[in-house]
Amino acid sequence: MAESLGALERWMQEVLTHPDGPDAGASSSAAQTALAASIPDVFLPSRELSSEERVGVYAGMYFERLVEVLEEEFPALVHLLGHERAHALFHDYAVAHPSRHYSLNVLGKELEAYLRDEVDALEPRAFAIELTRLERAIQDVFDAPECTSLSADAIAAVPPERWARAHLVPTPAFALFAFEHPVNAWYQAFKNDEPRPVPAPSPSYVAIFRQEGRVWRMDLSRAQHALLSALASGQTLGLALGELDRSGFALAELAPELQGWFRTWAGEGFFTRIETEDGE
Amino acid sequence: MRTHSNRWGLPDLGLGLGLRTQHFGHVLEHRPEVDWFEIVSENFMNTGGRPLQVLDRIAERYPIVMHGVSLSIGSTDPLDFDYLRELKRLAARCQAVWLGDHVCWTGVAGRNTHDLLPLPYDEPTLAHLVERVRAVQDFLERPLVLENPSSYVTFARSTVPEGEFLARLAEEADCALLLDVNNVYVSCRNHGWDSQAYLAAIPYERVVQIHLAGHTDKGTHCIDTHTGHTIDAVWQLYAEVVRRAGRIATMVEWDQDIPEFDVVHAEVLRAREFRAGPEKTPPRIKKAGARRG
Repeated sequence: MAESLGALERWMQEVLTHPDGPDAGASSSAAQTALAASIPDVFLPSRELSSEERVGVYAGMYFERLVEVLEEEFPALVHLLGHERAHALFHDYAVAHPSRHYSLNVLGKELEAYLRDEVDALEPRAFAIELTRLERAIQDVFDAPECTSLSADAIAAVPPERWARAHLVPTPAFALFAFEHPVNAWYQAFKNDEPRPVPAPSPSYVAIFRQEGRVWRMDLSRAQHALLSALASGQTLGLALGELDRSGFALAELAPELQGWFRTWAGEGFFTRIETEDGE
Repeated sequence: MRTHSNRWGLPDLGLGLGLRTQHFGHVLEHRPEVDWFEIVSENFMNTGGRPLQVLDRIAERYPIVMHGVSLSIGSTDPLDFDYLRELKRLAARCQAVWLGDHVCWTGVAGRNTHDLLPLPYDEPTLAHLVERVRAVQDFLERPLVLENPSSYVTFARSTVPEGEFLARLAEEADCALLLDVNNVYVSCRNHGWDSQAYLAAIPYERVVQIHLAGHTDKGTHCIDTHTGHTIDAVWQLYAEVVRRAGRIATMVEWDQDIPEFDVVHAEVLRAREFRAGPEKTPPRIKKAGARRG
């Protein structure tokens, strides 16, 4: 008998979530395959509303709810595209990528890939995709697993002779980005209610991290990004610096700044532990 | 006024509130005299961010009750044990006095509509629910507290009134109930049910919590929006529940256009006058669940 409840649920889900409304949903092949029924066959009318109108209450709320979640997660993208375009885009995304997780926090996880791979008409395309990546990263870093951060003192306590073989492991609530546009600057202006026009391409580098439960963004130089990327990929500090040198950065010029960089990064809680190759 | 006694000896926690992000700062700073807080379980799952840290601090001071929206107990998909594991972990972390969800389903075929969708009230559905509630309770090692949903459709195949269905579910699955009095009102309005008959069918020895809330009256139907003040007709139904059952842990849900903390707090404190004793209970209106106009 549970099968008939399952058939009813599959039918009902098709009816409630069809992008063209409950009537289209009920006549869709997916619904009819689940259960050969019409809306009045399944739902009774009330004194004031028809069966179709009653189902419409649920159907209307379905997309409204999902679009609202996406609007809250991507407010800068909404500002960039305009409310109407963003609403339509989010609606189409919810159709193409319905939620499959108990948490609405992950609903927008595939939006960047959707914009890149499945949306043809999107202007300004490259910047919108990068802005989506930034806003999604803020959500991901916010929700990343809990983890303690290493203090600056703990890093300073590592004997100098061990530094070259040290792995500095970032916390799970840490992400690095290299953008083709000044995305973080534009985003900050948006947050400050000082909107700017779409920027011209210009490389930018950003770290997004969580400290005491709150998400922060830090602009980085290209060298800082390169060094942190190498460390985040699991390289020892010695190898990471070597790669920096081979990549054309003047290590001798950077050397005086390195200590300050690490002090700042440790102070912001970028790292969770130090591992040395001799296991200490 | 007697204190309600339930099947599990779970306490009357008094008058509580839903813990909402907008009020984190106020609660942490002012430590208001609220008896307990209810959290939406999923808001603190799958995240290591600030809400969890705030919850830790609030749980040190206040009893916490967990109320979920994604258990999907009525779905015909397999139970999601990853979800249940995290639910159990969170309950241990905040030392939840109890935890629950809704008599509903939220999706099928791997999808989640994030809505509390209604079920037909018939024997196959009851058997399906009983089996799943028992499995969940076995896993969680505690009773599940299930809430009556608000609904906007009724099924042609339903054969059992909702109140009776809940009573049988609670009895056969040996689970607890959360009676959402606003949902009783909303569903009775939407479906033309008799709210007094509904309340008469509820097994109060299994009710451990009561919800109150505002809703949106569309004229032709009501939507359970959790916005605005609890209307008088719902307060009258609450008085009836207290008259039947005694004092039960009661809280107010307010999830849209959320006002200052003190406004929401004042709303739940209104329940005091109904819990104080029969002599202070305002007179019942004759048809608390009657349709308007």
